[in-house]
Amino acid sequence: MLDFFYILTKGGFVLWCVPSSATEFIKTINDAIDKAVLQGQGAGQKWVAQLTSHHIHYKLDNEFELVFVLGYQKTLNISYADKFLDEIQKRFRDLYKDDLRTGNFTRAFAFREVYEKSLKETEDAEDEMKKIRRLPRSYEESDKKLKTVKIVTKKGDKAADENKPKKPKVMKSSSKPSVVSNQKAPVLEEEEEEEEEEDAKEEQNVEDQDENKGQEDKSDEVVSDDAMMNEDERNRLPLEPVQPTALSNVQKLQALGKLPGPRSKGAAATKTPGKQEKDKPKGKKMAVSLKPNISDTNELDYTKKGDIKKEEPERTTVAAPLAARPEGGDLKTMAVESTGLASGLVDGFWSKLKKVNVFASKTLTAEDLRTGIETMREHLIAKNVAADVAEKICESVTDKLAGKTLGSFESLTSNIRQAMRETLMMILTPKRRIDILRDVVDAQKARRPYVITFCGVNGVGKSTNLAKVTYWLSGNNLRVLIAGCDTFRAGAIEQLLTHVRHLNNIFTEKNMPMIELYQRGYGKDAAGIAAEAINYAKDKKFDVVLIDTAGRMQNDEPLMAALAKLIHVNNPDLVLFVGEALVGNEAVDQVTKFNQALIDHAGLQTNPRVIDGIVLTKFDTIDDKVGAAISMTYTTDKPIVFVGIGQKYQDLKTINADVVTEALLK
Amino acid sequence: MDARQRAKLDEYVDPEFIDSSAGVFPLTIIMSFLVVFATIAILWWAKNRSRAARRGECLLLCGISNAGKTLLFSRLTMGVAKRTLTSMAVNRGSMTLENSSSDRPVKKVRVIDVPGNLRIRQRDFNSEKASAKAIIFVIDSTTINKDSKDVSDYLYDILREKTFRQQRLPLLIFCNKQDLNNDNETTQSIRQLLENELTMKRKTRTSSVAVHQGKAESADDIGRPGKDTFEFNDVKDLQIEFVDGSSLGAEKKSYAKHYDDIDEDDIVSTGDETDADSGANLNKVYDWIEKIWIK
Repeated sequence: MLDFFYILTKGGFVLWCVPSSATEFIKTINDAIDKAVLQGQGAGQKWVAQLTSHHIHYKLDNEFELVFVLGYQKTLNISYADKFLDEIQKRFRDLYKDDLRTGNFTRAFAFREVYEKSLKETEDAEDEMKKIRRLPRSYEESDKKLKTVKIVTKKGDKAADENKPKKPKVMKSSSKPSVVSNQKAPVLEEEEEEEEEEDAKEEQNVEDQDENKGQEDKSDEVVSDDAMMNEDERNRLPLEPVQPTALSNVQKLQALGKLPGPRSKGAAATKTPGKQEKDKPKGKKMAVSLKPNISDTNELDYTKKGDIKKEEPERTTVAAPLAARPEGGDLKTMAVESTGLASGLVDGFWSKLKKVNVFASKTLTAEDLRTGIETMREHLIAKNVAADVAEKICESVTDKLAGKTLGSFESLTSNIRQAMRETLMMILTPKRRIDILRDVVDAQKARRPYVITFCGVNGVGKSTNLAKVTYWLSGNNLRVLIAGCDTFRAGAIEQLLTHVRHLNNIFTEKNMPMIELYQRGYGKDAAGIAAEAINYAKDKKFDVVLIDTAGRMQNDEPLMAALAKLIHVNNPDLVLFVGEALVGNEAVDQVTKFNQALIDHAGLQTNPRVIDGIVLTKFDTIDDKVGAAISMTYTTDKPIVFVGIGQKYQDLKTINADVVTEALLK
Repeated sequence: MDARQRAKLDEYVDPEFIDSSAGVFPLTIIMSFLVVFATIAILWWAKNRSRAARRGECLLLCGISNAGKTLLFSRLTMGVAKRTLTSMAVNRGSMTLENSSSDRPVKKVRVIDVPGNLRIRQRDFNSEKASAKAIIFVIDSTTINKDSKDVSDYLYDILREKTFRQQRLPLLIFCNKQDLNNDNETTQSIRQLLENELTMKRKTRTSSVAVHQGKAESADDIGRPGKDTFEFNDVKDLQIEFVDGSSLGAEKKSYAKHYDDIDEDDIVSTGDETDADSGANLNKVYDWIEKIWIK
């Protein structure tokens, strides 16, 4: 079932492998090692080989510097791969611990029988698991029970929106001064919503606390309140019954400290009416139950209360997230993140890590690394690295460090820092250096122009950076033809004409102009213009053709199809994606969708063209929030060819991986 | 009365205690500090000493991926040809040189194998280059036509390295894998190919876009400054030699010994086993190493 299994050292020596005569997998494994292990592209220690359709699982042993790799065909579904890797790792280490420690790799490892036995055991265990008939889970065991709060949160979004018009009706019953009509600004609405929640929450809290009031009937009342509230809820929204769990959840969250405790009433004057209501519980029973919408919004925004109580001026910043809720509705993590960011800006990266213990001669476990890695992840996100990318980088660093033994003078901090620096450097270092001038020489020999295409979303600086590249190429005595394939934006052609005129003034050479613009006005088909431009360049013996395209959003289907057509019809030598350094999480989306669109609309080509390189623009506008560079290179695995650091012709550089890494780790 | 008595007692008592303790106390502090500092200093020195000993004493194996460095490393240090995959980390080992002369019968040479993968090559090379006494640059003779650009890129960096030029480092360009196909590139043709590539590399490297916030590097040009084409003969600062051979060579059979499948055959030998005289082995490399280490 498994196609191959290799045990090798990190230095490259194969200690043991099966099948032992196989040389056809070497290329696959080398590729996997390059991409997955080194760069950290492998998600969760898995990798799918593109060409040979193998699934590859690997495991790093950092104590003895070993790598365990196995692979099987994509069509098979082997669920025990990870467990098997762990099992083999344990057995191999136990058997050959001494040899591995001394580095004696020349001996023969007679591991075959142990391997076979282990494989059989794992396979049998899997079959056993499948055979056990699984009873359907009861409600108590199911995940839904645990998720009730979250589900309420999600549905509660809609409830909150629905409830806004209902508020004036409900508010009449209480004498809260902060009641406002719906015509007020959303901030105020949220203010009152929060205050309502606070009040009603307080009521609930106080009522929930048996020890405070010492009255049994209180709890009954609360239960029935909840029941009534829930009935109303159920009428409005298709929620499952929350009643038995709402209590426990509230209490749970209080225990965690997310909700205000019983005595932390705060100084808001609006609380007093609420208190008066509590004093007359029986009389106010109906009033309490008449506010079901308050209570269910209560159950939503546990985090908001804490924030409001602490800092009033912070309200606007808290209101913003309310308006644009994250998709998971996961406000709790968001609150955590915001405090993390704030403290990150104040404390600095390494002071946070210094809180972690310093061990002496200890083997690192995932648990030890967790706090340090968490801090690092937040730090990366604060530096404008996309969230998914930061997550994956932290995972790969954890893999690299797990199981490593610390030396006597090393600390955890320095290890994490070193591992981070290595990973970031590896991401920023290209797999293959792109040398445009060298490739132009090749193209000259073949008597054809070297074609570069610039693509990207709107307003990133394609035309400006195209002019900079023209300046550089002309400075190296190359004749450049600019193809104006942006037939959409007003003034695009004129802009390029101005650049050409400027540059020709700078570089006058004999009688022939060094730089020319090939344009056919607006509204025409870009792919056709590009094809004509390339032919023209070939006739007039231009060395380089730069194709300027119109900016387009990555989810705009027809425009992406048009771009794909331009690229596949003309087959340029270099496709450069222009992205600005200011972009954050969008970077991943842009680059992925551009790549995907190019592959999807490839037509009949067997080898679809994808992005070959990245131009990172507006680098001077970000100070040290250089995370966009990481996000883009990590997603595409292609190098950053140029960096734009200003708006003049000379402001074109290549990326300095050391400087960027230091800026990210600072 | 009491006070006066007490004062008198103090007079008697105090000087002894105060003086002696005043004398001893600061001295103890100073002694203890000295001991602590001495311990730390000794530990630091011991830690750095092991690294300093290797400075400038090692043989460095460089080359792009899949050139055969790790296999060469295993041949030199362990004497057997182990099966290898892409290296992810530096390999360190030592080889012993048999010397026929009587004064130093056995000499130990430290060998360092730097991975060829472009991503980690920069970092590993930079950390190991200080300890290089000689470099073997391994080239895969079968794919040199395809990889000439990458090979020349790497070679250009090595040739330009200031520390190497100052110490007149011996550089051996080892054209590996001569045993694989019959119509390999010969040493002469590889030399010519590299010279052409390096000529172009000189021009393109100096005209390329500058590195953002990079250190202002002095234009260390390789070869003769005024001359247009690059030739290895012009390089006076490094002692360059070209040899060919094969790390696998006549020891192809050794693969099978280390994997316990006795019934499966390993790499099937394609040609004659009499590789000794065809140059498809490591003899020339051994000669070169001996020449450098045993002077």
